[in-house]
Amino acid sequence: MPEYFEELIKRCYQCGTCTGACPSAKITGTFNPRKIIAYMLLGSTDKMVSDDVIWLCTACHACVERCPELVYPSEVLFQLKNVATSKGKFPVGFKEEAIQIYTTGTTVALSSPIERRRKKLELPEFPAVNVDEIQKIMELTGIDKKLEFNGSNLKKQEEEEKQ
Amino acid sequence: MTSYGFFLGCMIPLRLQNFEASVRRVLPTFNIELLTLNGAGCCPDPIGIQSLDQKTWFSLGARNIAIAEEMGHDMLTLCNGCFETLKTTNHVLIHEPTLKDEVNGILSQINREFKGNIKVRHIVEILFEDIGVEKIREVVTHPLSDLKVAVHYGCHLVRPSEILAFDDPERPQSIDLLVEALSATSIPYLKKMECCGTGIRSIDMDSALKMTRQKLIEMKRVRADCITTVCPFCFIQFDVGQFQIQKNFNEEYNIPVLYYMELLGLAMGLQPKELGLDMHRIKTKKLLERLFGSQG
Repeated sequence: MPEYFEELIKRCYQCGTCTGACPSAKITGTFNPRKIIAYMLLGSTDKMVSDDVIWLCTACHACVERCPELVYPSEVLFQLKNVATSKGKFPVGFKEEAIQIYTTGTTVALSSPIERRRKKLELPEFPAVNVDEIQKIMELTGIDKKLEFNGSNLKKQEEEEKQ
Repeated sequence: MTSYGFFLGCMIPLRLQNFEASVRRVLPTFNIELLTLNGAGCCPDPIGIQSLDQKTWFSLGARNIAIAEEMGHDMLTLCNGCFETLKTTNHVLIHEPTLKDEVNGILSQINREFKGNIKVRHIVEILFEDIGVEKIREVVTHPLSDLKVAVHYGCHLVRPSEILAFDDPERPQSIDLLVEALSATSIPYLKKMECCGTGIRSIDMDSALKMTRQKLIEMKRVRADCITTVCPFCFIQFDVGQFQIQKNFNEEYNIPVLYYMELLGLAMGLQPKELGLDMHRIKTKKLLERLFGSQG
């Protein structure tokens, strides 16, 4: 956890406004930003990092708007999830999304049915994405290693499929 | 003529072509030119990718912005998710030089640089702030009278307000006024500013649908004829989501969902087909018949 955020959460006086504003708290009954920050204040950040509950934030930022102490709860959640990822704990759905972006540069792959739909609506051809640049960036930030996917294998697969 | 670097993103050109069609058909009326951002990719997703690794999120976002900077134009986004990602990246990198240097270190490896000299705009901002409600009223040839619209803003158009700095984060009015400019009625409903639930769709589908359902219950209570959104993720959550809710909860809502640009296109007399309205999961046929008679 970056030091800045360790300091930031010290402003929290546990009023619970964040949880009151939180749509996920109301529906899931398990996600509770006030409680997550309480654990962090008590020195149990590691416990929170490994808890699946942190991934239930919808990032609607209602808590950020209402927090009287400017703790930025949804931003604190992003930091927790980043730490979790670097420790090898992340939801498979998000990993698949990252792999898709690595492979095609987009979250949805261009296909011939999509091209036909675009043509039918008289839309111009979908502009080519510079996938090489995207792959290079993802390798430089190391997200491929964090998510345990092998970029060069994926590239090979992609080449084989094209042939 | 105002020209923008047209940021398509991925959900719109690859899944919801109706969004793109309505934008491309409507904007020329307002003298707006859309320029292709060559090589641009996913914004990337402000929830999934940001949750995994912020440095990757900022770097991929900065690459997209750098493409628009090289062209010397502000960027136009059609999606709340792209808006959140690109405007936040622009804002944070401009205000945090250390992070900007770090990201530029990465971008230098692909011969690009983030400078921070353009703006990221959402289409609603352009309509509301630049064009204005009055001019929109003037282009209406087919008023949507008697149409009761439940406006869903979507979180990432207005929050976090410190960064996105558009309208009010809790009581916005831009889209309501844009709807009323078409002679339709923006109908008040409870939980209007609550999240649609899409952010946890891939984590906990059941809870995501319960969030959508809460809103649908309120929209049905006030007898909304349709929902309008300005975000492809919210659109899918309401459009496809209604089918999933029917299956999981055995409840039928059957409220058509329209992208605001589709509503505007209809009010300008464009044909439903050229706007891609036949691509919606919740059928719009009955709504169009009521508005324009049987040829709609």
